[in-house]
Amino acid sequence: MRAWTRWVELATRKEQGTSMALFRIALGLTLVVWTGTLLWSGDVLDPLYTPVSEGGFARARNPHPIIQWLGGHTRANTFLVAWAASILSVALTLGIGGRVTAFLLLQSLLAIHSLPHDIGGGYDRLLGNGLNLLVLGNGTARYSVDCRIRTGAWTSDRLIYAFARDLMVLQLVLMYTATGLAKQGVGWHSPFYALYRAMLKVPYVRGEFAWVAHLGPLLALSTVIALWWEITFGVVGAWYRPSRRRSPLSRRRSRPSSRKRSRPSRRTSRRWRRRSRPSRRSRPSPRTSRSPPRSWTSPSSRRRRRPRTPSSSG
Amino acid sequence: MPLRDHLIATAVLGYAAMIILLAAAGVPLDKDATGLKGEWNDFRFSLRDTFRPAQRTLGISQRWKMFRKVSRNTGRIEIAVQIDGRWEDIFVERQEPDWRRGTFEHHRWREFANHLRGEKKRDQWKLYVPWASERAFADHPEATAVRFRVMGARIPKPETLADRGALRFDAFRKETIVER
Repeated sequence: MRAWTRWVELATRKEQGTSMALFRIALGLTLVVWTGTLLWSGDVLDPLYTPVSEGGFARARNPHPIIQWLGGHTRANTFLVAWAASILSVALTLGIGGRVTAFLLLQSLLAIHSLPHDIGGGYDRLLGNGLNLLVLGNGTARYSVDCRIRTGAWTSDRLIYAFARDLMVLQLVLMYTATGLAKQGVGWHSPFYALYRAMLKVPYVRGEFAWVAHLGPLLALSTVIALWWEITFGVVGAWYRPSRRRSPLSRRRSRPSSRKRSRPSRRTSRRWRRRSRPSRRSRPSPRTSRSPPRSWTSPSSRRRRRPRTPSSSG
Repeated sequence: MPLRDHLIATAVLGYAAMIILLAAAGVPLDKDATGLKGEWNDFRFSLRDTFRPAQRTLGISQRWKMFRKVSRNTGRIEIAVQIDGRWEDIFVERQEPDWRRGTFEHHRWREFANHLRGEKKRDQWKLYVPWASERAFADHPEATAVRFRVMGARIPKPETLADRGALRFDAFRKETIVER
């Protein structure tokens, strides 16, 4: 029961939305380029994603429900979904529409991926999982048009759940560990030729890399390092402590500064008071304790602390 | 603690457990394994099938098999046109000449070309050849035929390659000639 209470506290702690906003912008810009190259590079969307019946190469065996809802896999629907994804990725970057935009963009990307047979990669899965985290978490609390409309400023003190950031770290740990454990095939064991061969294989590089033959021992060492870096990536997850008490960066983020920020709303300040109140066990000694900033205390508590003056006593 | 917090904590726990299980299920093992490994294989296959709809509609796929094996074989696509009875290369992967390189170097095309180099997906080769030949004839009006070839190479040991200076794409894999 105590463990569950701790988990609930961990999963529902809040922080300011800077990390998620920066993640949203970075992911949005990536997807703007992703969809842009699909639409503007000649001969990519058509023929790779258009149906065989209309001169393309794609045989959508199990198209996404959006494609089915639009009336099936046609050239027009392929372009429609790609254009929708492009517009939505711009909206995501600007922070318009919050979670709804992230969800629609995710669905449109999944719809595009469901058309051709296996011309995606790990980066597509990573982008999809990233969008999923933007659906779960709130990426528009700061640096977004939504924030500008809501508060009149590009930043706000609105707090968001921190679990999306924790899940992001978990996702990275899972990706690296799983891909490290999956590297059981040829090349990854003695004499460790994986990186050397990868730099010579036509699908992976864009130039003639025969000169890597002179770096044989260095590439063998790099192969071992890459493999064990991925397998032991869980160490990074263990190092990442989601508890804000142990992370000075998160603490700085999670406490409002009375000097720079405006006064928090009554509801927010009540939450801050509740969260910033030290537990009985960790309460500092009277000698080292400092009174909280004035902005953290409510008017009623200030009234209680005010010393009695002759005028107030009657 | 309000009920909402418990619900959020339950949902976060469920999501984390789901992606951990899917990632674990994605780690490949020998398909013919027996005993404990075989049971794990059965479990992960059933898990993958159970969550397939969720992976398809929520984008939570956890199949991370990047660079799982790096074999010593590679191959390249070569396209040539016949002009006055002589074959002239117009596109050779990773080398000059570079007819429509902007298209073929796009990362989606490189993924697609992976299928073309292999022997398994002949269907895609049959779709690709007429499409590309139509464009080759349009860009080279004097050409009477277009030849598509896949040539393979074996990556030697580093010391051997250092002596040779370049890979030798001398293993013939497949060829199709389209006449105008």
